[in-house]
Amino acid sequence: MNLSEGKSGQQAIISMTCVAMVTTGLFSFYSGELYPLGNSTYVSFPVGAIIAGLVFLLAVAAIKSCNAHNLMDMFEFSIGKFLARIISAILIVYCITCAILPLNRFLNIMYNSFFINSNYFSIALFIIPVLAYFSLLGLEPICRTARALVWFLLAMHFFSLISEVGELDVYHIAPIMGDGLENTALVSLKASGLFLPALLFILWNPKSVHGLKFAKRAGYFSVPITAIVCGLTFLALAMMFTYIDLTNLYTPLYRYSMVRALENLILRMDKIMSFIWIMAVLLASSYYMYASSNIYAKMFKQNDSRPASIGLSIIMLYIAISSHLTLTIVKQVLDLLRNYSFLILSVPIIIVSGIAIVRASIINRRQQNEVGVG
Amino acid sequence: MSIKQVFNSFSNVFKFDDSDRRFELYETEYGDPYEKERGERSTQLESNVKEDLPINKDLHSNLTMIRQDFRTDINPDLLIREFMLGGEVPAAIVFINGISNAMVINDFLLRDGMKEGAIKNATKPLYEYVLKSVFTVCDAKTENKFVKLKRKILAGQAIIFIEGEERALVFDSRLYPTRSVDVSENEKTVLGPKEAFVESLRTNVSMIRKSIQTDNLVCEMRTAGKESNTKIGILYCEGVANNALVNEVKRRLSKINIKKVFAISTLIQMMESTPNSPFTSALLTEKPDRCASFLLEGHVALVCDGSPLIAIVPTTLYMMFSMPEDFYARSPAASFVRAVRIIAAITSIYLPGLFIAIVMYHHGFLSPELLNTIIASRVMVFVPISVELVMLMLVFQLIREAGMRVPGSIGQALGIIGGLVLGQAAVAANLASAVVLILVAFVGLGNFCIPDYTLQLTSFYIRIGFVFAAIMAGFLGIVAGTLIVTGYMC
Repeated sequence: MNLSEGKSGQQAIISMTCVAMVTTGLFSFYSGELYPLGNSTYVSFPVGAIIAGLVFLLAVAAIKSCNAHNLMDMFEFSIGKFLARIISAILIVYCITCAILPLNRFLNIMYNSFFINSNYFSIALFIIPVLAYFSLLGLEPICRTARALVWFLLAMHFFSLISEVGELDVYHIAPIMGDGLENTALVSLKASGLFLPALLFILWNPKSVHGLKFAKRAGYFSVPITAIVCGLTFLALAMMFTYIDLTNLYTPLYRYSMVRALENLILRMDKIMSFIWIMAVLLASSYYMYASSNIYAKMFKQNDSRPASIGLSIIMLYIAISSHLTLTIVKQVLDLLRNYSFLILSVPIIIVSGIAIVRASIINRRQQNEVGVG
Repeated sequence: MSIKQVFNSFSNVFKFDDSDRRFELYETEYGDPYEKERGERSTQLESNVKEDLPINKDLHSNLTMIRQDFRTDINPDLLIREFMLGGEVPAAIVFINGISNAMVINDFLLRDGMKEGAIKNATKPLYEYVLKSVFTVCDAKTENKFVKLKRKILAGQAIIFIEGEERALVFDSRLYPTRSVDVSENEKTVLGPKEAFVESLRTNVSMIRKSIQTDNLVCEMRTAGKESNTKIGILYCEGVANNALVNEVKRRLSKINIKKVFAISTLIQMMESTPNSPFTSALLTEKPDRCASFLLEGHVALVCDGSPLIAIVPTTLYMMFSMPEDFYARSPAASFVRAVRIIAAITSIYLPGLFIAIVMYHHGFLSPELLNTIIASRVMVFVPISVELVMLMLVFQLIREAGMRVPGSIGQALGIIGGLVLGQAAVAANLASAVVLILVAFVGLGNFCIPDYTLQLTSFYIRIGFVFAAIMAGFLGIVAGTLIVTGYMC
């Protein structure tokens, strides 16, 4: 869509960021990495969301202090055009990563559970055009769709959690914070890095959400909601399975909804839920895909983000397929980006924001002194 | 051609849309739209007419011109009656036979005009004197441009030319054959008023004015269609309706460039930014009370002369699920019925697709008993289930369409024959299974719960789309389809 597009409402953008952050939190990490020593995900993910929120607030403060219009302006003010573009490129990479990680997971689920006789490419061909279509429509329709579907998605998600309440056992949580403080903190930082792109894109484009004030408010709402939804989901998983069981599960949430099959007309809640989740994942991925194409277009002063969207959709189709095939390098790069997200994305944002705040205060002080001398 | 002219023609090609402030003036119901800055009428007809000549002082040259333009040699509809105004000055009355009220012309124009001594104490100009003192018709004015006079004659008004006068007199003598106000056929109510709009713009506007008796209700008149010159009324409550919305409606209306507009549905399609979209952006209603209700909520209504429906813009999907009855029933009951309506619509849209997805790809959803029932019912059916379902849906649409096109009682009989006999025969002949037949019937019932006709048609397209998506990729196809449809609507 043309870059001078319409504006998203407050509820719409909050819904969108919540859907994006929650799906990233729930479906981006593999069990083998999260539960080797114990389970403390019900703490680490909410903390991760809060850390992402704090980084977001720091970036907001930096934008305000240097009177910038958006994140890019703040980057340029702080570290100059060249480095600003590099950090923007990192943000694009992370938007793509956040889109690809859950998509990959669901491609696998689709292939192994529903379309065994098919192949990844055929399944991906159904998914990627939807993303491309949404990213061509623009931010406003994506956010409005999220707003239209968010209650349905939330209701179904909580229904699946509640429907298994009879099977939950508190003792499964033991050992409490079994992962240890160090590992918990590490997972929190990793998660925070993946939560951040959804929030940063609002700051990249505050005009589309009626200004910085509303962008900040969107962050205020979406961070706690994400923390609560992720926290409750991981708590339910922790109460359902021991950490040893969880380590061996590819998609614990899918397995969770299989535990108690409803012995009536509908037998398999897990299958219904997998399609509800994929709806959320598609929506979130569309948001990330649009975000990356929009950032790219603005970075290179293009008036239209549609060519970038088309290009990115082809790249994503390639990555989505190749990570399941022999090209393990793609998988390794994705793992690297996920595991070092805090270092690669959050730390530069913190540094740049810090520099912007300090620089702005120095300039202000200098100006005040000049006025005083004058 | 001078450089300035070349530049102007280029700038006309590349200029943006006309600014909204051009449409700021309010017009009366009887007036024509008058654009503020250009100082010229905006109707399509006049912009295309090369000559905009004033009338002649000589009566006979005026009549000759009228005769030539209306081809009175082969066109006997136009009547020209010459008479002596007050027994002194030659004059002529011109009107079209059949659409002008002969009683008005005989009793209040000819009789008053031919009365001896009617202009005995006349002052100059004469046309002004006779307008004020001789003719006893309430809606009367003067006009001096031939093009406008011709339009008024075509609209059913009577024109009087007077010898030596530079302006002609225009009298409202329109009498179109219209049906009287009747009971609503498509939006039936038990508790609310039962009257419905008719094909006359004036009657429709007066019915709305009867419901909203406030001076805030504005009715601006426009015309659409180069040849049909159909009158369009833009109704809104000033101070309640958003000015930007009203201006946008006017802007879009002014951009219409077609020969004919005979119905409001055509007009709406011409006004929409995406006319090929399956979703309509206007709610069509035939109930004055419903229209009045939306006007008081800030919507804009478009009334088209010759159409018994009024378009409400903008509209939402939720509005399309409302019925006039909802406004009169008690709140809990009305809310419940509306919820049932929405659930029925969603079920009717998704059910065929979900059925195909489950049967073809995801058998695990169903209990063995239900699965066995489906399999047993299809044992002898030789066509694949997807083909069977699509075929039956098309047959259902066929019966529906046929039932709508034939007269009332036969239509009902056709529905029964189509539904019962054909269905029964199809199952007996192993052309269709009972389960799929029940499903299609259920889908049809759900579809009829959608109050808006255009939305019913739209839901058919979406339903078929979901069936094909389900055939291709099961639930994944339906999820993708849902997102695409929702995204498109948002």
